[in-house]
Amino acid sequence: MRSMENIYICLASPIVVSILCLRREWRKSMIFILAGMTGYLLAAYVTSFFAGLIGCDTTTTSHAIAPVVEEVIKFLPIVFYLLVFEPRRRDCSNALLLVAVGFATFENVVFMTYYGASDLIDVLIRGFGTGAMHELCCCTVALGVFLLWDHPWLKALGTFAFLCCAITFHAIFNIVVSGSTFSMWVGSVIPITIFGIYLAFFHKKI
Amino acid sequence: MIETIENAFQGGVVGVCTLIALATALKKRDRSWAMLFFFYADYLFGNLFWQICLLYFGKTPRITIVSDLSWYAAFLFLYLLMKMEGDKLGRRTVGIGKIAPYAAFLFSFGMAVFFMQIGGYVSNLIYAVFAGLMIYQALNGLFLSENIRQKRRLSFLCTVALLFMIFEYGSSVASCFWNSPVAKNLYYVSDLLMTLTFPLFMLALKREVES
Repeated sequence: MRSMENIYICLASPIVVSILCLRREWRKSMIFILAGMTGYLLAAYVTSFFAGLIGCDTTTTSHAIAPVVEEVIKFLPIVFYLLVFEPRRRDCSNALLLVAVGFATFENVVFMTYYGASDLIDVLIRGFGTGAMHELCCCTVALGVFLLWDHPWLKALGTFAFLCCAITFHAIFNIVVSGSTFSMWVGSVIPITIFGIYLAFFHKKI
Repeated sequence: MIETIENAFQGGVVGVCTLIALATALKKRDRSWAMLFFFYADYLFGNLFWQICLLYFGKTPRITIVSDLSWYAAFLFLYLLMKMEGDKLGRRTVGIGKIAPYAAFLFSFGMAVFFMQIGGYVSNLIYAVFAGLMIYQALNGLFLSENIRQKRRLSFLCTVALLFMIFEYGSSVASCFWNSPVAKNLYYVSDLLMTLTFPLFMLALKREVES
C-alpha cells in the first residue's frame, strides 16, 4: 500500500502544480483528473477494509467488492459537483469522463508497477481495455443523468439504477480479465469494441 | 442439463430483447424504450455475472451483491418506466385505487419474512423494498388506467409487470424447496413463463406508442 501512496504523490504533484497555474475550464479539468486519481487511492483503502471485514480472498474482492466501491467512489466527486455548483448537463458528463480518466490512469500505473510492463502488447491491450471500461461505466452514468435530468423524482432512483448497471459491467470485466491471457484479451477487447461502436455511431445521436 | 438449457434460453431471449429495445430506443429516441432497454440489459447482466462466475470459478458467487444490485436496478427501471407512462396520463388515483396498491408492500414484506427462514435478513428486506415498489407501481397503473380511453396503453404494461413478478416470486419460492422434484419442476416452469414475459414488455410499449 505504501508504494501506491508514493506513486500517487508522484503522479499528483505535477497536476497540483498545473491546477495552481491554469485558469477556469482548464483548472477544472485538472481538478477532476486529480479527483479520479484520489478516488482510486480511496477505493483501494475502502475495498481492503471491506475485504478484511467480510474475510474475502483476492479473487472475490476483485469481482464482488472492488467494482461496487470503485464505481460509487468514482461518482462521489460528481455528486459534489452536481449539488454544490449545479452545472450544465454537458459539463457534468465531461466531468464524469475526466474523473474516469484520472481513475483509469492511476489504476494502470499501479497495475504496471505490481505486474511489470515488459510485454508491450499486453500493456497496450490492458491499458486500452481498462480505460475503455472506466469510460464506458461513466458514460452509462452520464447517460442516466442526461435521460433523467428533467424529472426531479427520477434523479435519485434513476442514478442509482444506472450506477448498478455500471457496477455489474465492471464486475464482469474484472472476472474476465482475471482469467488466462486469452481471456484477458477478450475481456479488454469487449469494452474497446463497445466504446468504438458508441463513438462511431451513437455519440452524436445520443 | 435442463438448467443449462433453461439458462441459455433465458439469456438468448433477454439478449434479443435487449438488442431490439436498444435499436428501437435509438430509432425513435424515446425515453420509455431507453428505460426498457436498461431493464433488459440489467437483467441480462445479473444473469451473465452469475453464469460467468460458474464458468470461471466452477461455483456460484459467494458474495452476490453485484448480481443482486443488477436485478434491483432492473426492477427500478421497470418501476421508472411505469411511473413515466402513468405520469403521461396526468391523472390521480381515487377511492380504493389510492389505498389498494399499498397491499404490494404487505405482500412483498410477507414474502420476505418467508424467505428469511432460509436466506439472509438484509438482502431479503432490500429485495422486498424493490419488488414492493414495482408491484405498487403496477397496481397503481392499473387503477390509473381505469375508465379512460387510453386504458389499453398502461394496463397492458402493468399487467405484464405483475405477471413477471408473479413468476419471479414463483421461481423463488420453488427454489426454496429445491430437494423436492415437484418444486424443481415448478421452478423451471415459473422461470420459463417469466422468460416468456420479456418480449411482452416490448409488445406493451409498442401498443402504447401506437395508441
